[in-house]
Amino acid sequence: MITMRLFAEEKRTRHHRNCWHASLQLDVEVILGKWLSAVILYASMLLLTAVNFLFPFLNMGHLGLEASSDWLSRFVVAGVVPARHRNLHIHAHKNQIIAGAVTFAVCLLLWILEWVSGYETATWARVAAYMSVITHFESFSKGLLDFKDAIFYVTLIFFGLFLTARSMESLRWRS
Amino acid sequence: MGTQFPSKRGKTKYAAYAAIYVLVVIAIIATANVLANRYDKSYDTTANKRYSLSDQTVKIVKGLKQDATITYFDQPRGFRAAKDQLDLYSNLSPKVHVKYVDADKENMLAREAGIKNYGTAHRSNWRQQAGSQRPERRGHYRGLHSRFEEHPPAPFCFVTGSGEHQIDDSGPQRLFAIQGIARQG
Repeated sequence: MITMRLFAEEKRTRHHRNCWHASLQLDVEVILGKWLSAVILYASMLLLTAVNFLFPFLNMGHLGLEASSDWLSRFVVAGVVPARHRNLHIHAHKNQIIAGAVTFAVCLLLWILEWVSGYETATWARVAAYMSVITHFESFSKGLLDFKDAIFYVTLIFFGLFLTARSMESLRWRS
Repeated sequence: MGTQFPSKRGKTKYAAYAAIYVLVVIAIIATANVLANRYDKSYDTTANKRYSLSDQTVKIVKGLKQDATITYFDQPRGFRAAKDQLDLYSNLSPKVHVKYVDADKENMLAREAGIKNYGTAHRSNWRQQAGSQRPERRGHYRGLHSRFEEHPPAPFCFVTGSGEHQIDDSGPQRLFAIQGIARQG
């Protein structure tokens, strides 16, 4: 909901055309700026809950680190990753409601993809389960900082931003 | 000065260019994830290093000279819980392979390996490489961390605490059966 009108409103009002007419090549800057603004807003809300982890982190060493790892993973999974999807899908449609609904569906899909691993062990099922954000969330929530999970989230965020850039770029030649 | 919009031919060219660009990026991302899985490193932040292997285990696994396989028999929904632990072994050495077998679908395989309970890990080609002629030991995985020793008998450690199964409980998901195996040495 935070990012519902990040691109949709701009697309509806055709504000993005102003950038073209001004010969601005700021796709990357615009996308990163909007995405970061959404992430920062979300982080500022979640930061209030970080107070709960401050005490154990300062006084109980590893226990605090473990709890912080869980908190950080919740921030990434619940905030940063969906935010980039919102960017993408809200950009894909000028109607905020439709864009929001599509975003919700994609986030839900990324959530439930893991379920197939409960019924199937074939390669496609393992790949599907790997693409679920929940699969990679578990190690962080247990206090295990895993390189492969970090890479998964980074590449997922990058891919979303990349697609958003391509989508935005396509507006130039589709118009 | 207005923006020059491309012709229909130009649009097709741009679309093809964008499609190839996306495919290349997907390939790069997939490769990065495969490599990250292959050469995974993790940092255990838990106070008692709950998700780390002992130094002795690390030494033995890294010293393996031939391929060794851990076959994990369970229902598919149980694979994920075991994966975190079993991946620790496969991440240590490329010679360690972990196979997950659906004990219901592949019940012949499970029977051949002598598996009687879900959540059982079967190791093959470990002990021979560790200098022992004794037959393979089967260890119940849940709540149990078996350490691979160079000299038999290998110790079995039962973890007790919140959420762990009790070793004297009976039933398909309990550790009762493995308790007997462990006592046989």
